[in-house]
Amino acid sequence: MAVLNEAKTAAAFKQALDGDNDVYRAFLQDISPVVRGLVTRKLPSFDSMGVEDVVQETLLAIHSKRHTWQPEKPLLPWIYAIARYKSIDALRARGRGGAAASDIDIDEIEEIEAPPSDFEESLDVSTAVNKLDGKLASVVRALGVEGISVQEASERLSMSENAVRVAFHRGLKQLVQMRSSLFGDP
Amino acid sequence: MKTNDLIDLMAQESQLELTPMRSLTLSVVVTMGISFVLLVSFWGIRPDMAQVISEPLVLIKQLIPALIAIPCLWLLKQSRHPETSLEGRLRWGLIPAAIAIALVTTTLYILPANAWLTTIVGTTLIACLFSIPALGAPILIGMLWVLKQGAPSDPKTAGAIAGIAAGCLSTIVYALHCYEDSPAFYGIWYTASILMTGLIGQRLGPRFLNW
Repeated sequence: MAVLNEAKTAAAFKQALDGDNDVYRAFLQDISPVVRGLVTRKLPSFDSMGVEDVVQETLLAIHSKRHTWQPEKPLLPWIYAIARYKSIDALRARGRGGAAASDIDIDEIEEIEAPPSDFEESLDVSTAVNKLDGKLASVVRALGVEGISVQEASERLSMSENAVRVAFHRGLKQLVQMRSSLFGDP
Repeated sequence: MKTNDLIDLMAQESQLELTPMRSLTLSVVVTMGISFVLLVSFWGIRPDMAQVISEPLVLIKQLIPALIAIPCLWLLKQSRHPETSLEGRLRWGLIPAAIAIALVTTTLYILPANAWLTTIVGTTLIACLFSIPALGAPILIGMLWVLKQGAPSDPKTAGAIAGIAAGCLSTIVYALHCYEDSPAFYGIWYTASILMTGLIGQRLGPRFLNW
């Protein structure tokens, strides 16, 4: 299993918080396998699709709650705590609304266990973004795909900067949820 | 969407200004102010407050809840950071509970048995049980609002601690009105009201503090 170095990871995260997009991307890519490993261990009953949902939820939570990290405190326990919280949350959600294994028709099992291998590929970013509500789609496309600044986006879409930020975050959240519902999981 | 695509999207946002967490202290000051104004307008401060405030049994009515509220507020401040574990923290509540029981039994011990019931029931029992949670509501709402900006990883316990803290702070306000000065009264009913507010917080926590 992948291992993270506290000092290196924290230094990268600090740099990312100062606005370095490339370092931030590398940071998120570096922590993903570790988060995946942790989630897999926490949720032995989840298939790889289910695990990936929780991984994405965790990354999004790390992103939206990044102000709750105290730079003088270690970063890795903070990341693990978020992954643990999201894992427990997923387990609870499955217990509440998810179909029990016995409810699934035998014919469906094949479908669930072997999704078409290119299904995930077919659902690329632009397809997914197009499925968002109008305003959210334009914000996510502008910031995330084109990579323009919040200020430019706020002028182009005549929204306040704060509204742009909120819409962007809501858009990301919807994208993550869209993925879960598309795969019918849980 | 692939995880890498999500990462690419999020990476564009690194420079975005972070929403700072509002101050818990400020929220408590403001919402306690609201409770105080409500108390003055609808309940009124007891007329003899100035004379009795120096009496120890009146003073501890306000002092004990304050002493419980302080560690609760400290815990709530920490709980906004997800790595904070609140496990087993509620057990510390046994200390003030033991103090309340000691106060009540000592008071009853020096009273004749036929005065026990009237002392315990007092004359404002229902008002007390209603007023403390009611005056605590704005305080609790303010706390949950501030906690929501953080990332509490144990919403149920965080909610319960917020409820107990709000109940204690509201008791400090309500005790300015309440003229029941026997520890046999307030030791039981203030404790019950604070626990009730704590229970409300525990129920609201998982609903409002999810992230």
